[in-house]
Amino acid sequence: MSDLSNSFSSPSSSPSSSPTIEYVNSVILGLVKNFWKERGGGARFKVTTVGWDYFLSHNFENPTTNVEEAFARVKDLLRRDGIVEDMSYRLKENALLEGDQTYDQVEVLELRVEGCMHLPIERALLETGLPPYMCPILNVVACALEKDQRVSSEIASITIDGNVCKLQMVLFGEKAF
Amino acid sequence: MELQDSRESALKLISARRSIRKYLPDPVTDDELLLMLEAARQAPSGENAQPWRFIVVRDADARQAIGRVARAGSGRRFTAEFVSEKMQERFADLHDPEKKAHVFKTLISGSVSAFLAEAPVIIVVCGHRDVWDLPFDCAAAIENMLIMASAMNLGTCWVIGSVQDVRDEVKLEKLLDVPIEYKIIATIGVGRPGRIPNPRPRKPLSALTFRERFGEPFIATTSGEVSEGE
Repeated sequence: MSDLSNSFSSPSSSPSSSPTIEYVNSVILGLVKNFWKERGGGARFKVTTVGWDYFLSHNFENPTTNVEEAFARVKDLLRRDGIVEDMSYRLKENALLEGDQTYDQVEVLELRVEGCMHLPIERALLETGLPPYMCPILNVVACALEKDQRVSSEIASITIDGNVCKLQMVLFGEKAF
Repeated sequence: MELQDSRESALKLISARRSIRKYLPDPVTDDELLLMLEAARQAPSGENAQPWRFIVVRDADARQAIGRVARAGSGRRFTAEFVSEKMQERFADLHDPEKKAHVFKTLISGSVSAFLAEAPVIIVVCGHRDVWDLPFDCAAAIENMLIMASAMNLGTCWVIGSVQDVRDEVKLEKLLDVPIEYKIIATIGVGRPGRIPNPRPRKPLSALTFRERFGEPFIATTSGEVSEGE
């Protein structure tokens, strides 16, 4: 009988360096790719809280009261932790129009993120023909808005343009959804 | 002869099923529910794991709460689809402005799923997470239930909008005290049909079926013969 304990023993010496970001990204990419292959178009709805634990772990004491404050909090956090280089937003009223029919009026948060650390994964996904469908940055913004202000949200689009991610998220007041 | 009758009955029953979104206030009896649940219990499952569990919800407040979650989930998703113009692409072939307006309103408002609250009974289908084939097993059980309901002239609608998004899943799990080892797969509205819609179009079999490998047309022979393989 073979000695299984040998198969699982630790290396005799510690690794000489920390795991590389490339390795971590390759694991995340594998997960994201396989999950999309498994769940297809529904995958994006199952990852809407990825990033929430990170944000909530900071236990911010004072709740934000509007989009501007929530965005500023998230931006400071993500830049401090080196997750993004910069980010900006524009909030616009969007009438849901089709022909001469107006269905509703919603707010759309347009987010521009530069130098995001998740970008290599999104690029690699696109190269394999799969659409980027998860954005932890948007999820963190959504978490900040929902937890403090009970504003629910839904990601509308994720577009990669060079070093920049252009993101759209629809915001709903508490009474709406 | 008997087999022929069974075949025809089975196909007729399956084809007659509709997704019912408008219900009469008349109650659904426990006997009827038990037959639906028994049909579900007879469904196949991987490793015969039978991971399904069913919560029968009659309480009006609980149904309203489930309906609100369903409405919110569908409304958010379809509004985002509209903003990204995917919805307009999806319905590009729908040219009748009135019909298009009706469809868009139904989707954007979330009422496509909110009707669930008006069903006299909601069956919440949960599945044990610690099996290999959870969604497939539960889907088989759900379809059995829908067919059985149809056989009793009950109307049902299989609603995913209430649990499509993980955020909504969590809300319903809390509302219904679903333990962590179970996942809510779907919610099913059950009642006596208030309106039976026309059949929705189905793609022809020729567009769905291939011979030996994907893309090769499957041309079935008639008169009991067997089509040849390669």
